Amino acid sequence: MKKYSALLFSIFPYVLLLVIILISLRLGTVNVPFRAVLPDHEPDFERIIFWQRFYRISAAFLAGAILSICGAVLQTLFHNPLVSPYTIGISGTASLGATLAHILGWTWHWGFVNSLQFSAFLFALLCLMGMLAFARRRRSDFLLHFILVGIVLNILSGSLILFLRYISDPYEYMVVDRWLMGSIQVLDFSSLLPLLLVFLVTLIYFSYSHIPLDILAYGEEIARTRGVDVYRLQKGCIFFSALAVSIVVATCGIIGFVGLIIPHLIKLTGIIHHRSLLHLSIVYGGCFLVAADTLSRTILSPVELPVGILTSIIGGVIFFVILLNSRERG
Amino acid sequence: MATLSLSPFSFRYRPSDAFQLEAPRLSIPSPSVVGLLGLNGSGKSTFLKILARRLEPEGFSCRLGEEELTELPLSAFARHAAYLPQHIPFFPPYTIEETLYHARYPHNPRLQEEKGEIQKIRHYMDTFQLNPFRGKVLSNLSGGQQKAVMLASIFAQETPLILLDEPFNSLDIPHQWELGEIIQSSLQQNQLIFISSHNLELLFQYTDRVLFFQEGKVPGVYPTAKIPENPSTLEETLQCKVIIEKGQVTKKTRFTYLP
Repeated sequence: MKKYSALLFSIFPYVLLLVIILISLRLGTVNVPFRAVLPDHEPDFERIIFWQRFYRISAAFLAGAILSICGAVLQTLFHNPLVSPYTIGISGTASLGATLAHILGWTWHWGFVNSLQFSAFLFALLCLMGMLAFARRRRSDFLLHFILVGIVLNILSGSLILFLRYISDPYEYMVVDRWLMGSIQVLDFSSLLPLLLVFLVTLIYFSYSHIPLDILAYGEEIARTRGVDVYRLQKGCIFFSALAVSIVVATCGIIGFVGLIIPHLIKLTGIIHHRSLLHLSIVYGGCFLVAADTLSRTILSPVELPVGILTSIIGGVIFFVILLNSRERG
Repeated sequence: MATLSLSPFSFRYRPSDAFQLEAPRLSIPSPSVVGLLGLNGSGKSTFLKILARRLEPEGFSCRLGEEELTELPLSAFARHAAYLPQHIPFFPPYTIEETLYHARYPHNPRLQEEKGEIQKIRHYMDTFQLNPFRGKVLSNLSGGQQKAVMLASIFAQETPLILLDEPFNSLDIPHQWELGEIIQSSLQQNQLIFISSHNLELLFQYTDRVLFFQEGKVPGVYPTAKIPENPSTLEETLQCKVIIEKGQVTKKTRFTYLP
């Protein structure tokens, strides 16, 4: 009987995911039946919309999964439950990159990438490289410096963006503003591809390091005693999560709170081992963002609400409730 | 029988620091229990950190038998030396068994639940008398209990070299004795143990060699048993007068400090 419930427990996240995806495929401005998946389905537009919706759902899943798995890893790495994937300066610099591209009148498309996304990714990557180079000189308190520089970069980029906004045409700036609010505008496979690749790469790296991450929870000294190369693990985790998150930010803009709230909720259920924590972060993070995205495109239909606004509102409320409850339990 | 041989070295945290740890060439046969004795800030922890490769003085060499420890990859080094730091900042909510399992990581990197591993973990649970709180998680234990679990995990790593920075701190008296007995019994397992402590009685009882630390200088290795005959180095190290006498009832050696 116990085995039975354990099985049920391990299947549940996938059932939930499947249900959310199926619901999400059906909901939208246009009602599309499931048989539109067939290649010879008529009318044509139903098939096209079906696949666009499918890619969008996939992108939402991948973005949510990446954000929450990176959040979970970074929270362990920094021994701090308040760290999110954006704390290390990725979001700020990426936004600055996008804003600059817009102000400089840099508008082009290359395949599925537009200048805004490219510039955002480039800036985030430059920020990461600079921070790694900076932190290299301070190996002993590497993490502390990393996070401080990340916070400073976020603040600095924020104020530079305000300045650029101030001197630019408010109507034209709308494009950047909308992008910054975060929305999943992935309608074909080629725009999904970077997300998919970076997801697979980070997944492989993190699943390879789940035991060292478990041991790192005792602190760096004990982890080193056990033979974990702490410095390399820290650098690796930061590199891969920053890479993945910068792709997410470049593709979907800034989607807040997913990377903070999902690992938290999972840990509240008593899951502390990274094998299950990371695995569930992927599934529930994906579920959460797919559901939020579905809500965002249906709640004000036919107008679409940027999903970043929605996740921040939902996330903020959930976080507040968690905080209130944990106070009660003492 | 292996010998630990250290090249002479000197170490400063920053070039501008006044404090410098200077050690001569040392060679210590294993098995042995070596006590580290000195005032606060005299370099005991720094010495242990250097042995544990947390700090790397230039040109330092540390050989255990034929093996050069400073050149091993970190994962292999963890099979040769285990280091218990003075402060452990985090006690995650793992159970005690899990903590001991994690200690086996250098030998069992996938943490597989093999029969031999399970037996080893049982053995160390028994030795350190952890069975009374076996179902509990580390974060819910008292400070002394946490220390006992971490000590057990250090021994469960089964390394020929064990470095303990103030292991007796925050242990109750029975646990202090327990640890002393375990340290003594490690002599049969060919282990070389370094212990830093301010407790002379414990050091005298459980070590057979002592390293004195005098403001960063290490005069050399002294046999513990010889201390009562010539207490001048001891008094210089502790910067106070020490009266050494046999107890009336227990016949144990007692130390009394006079300003």
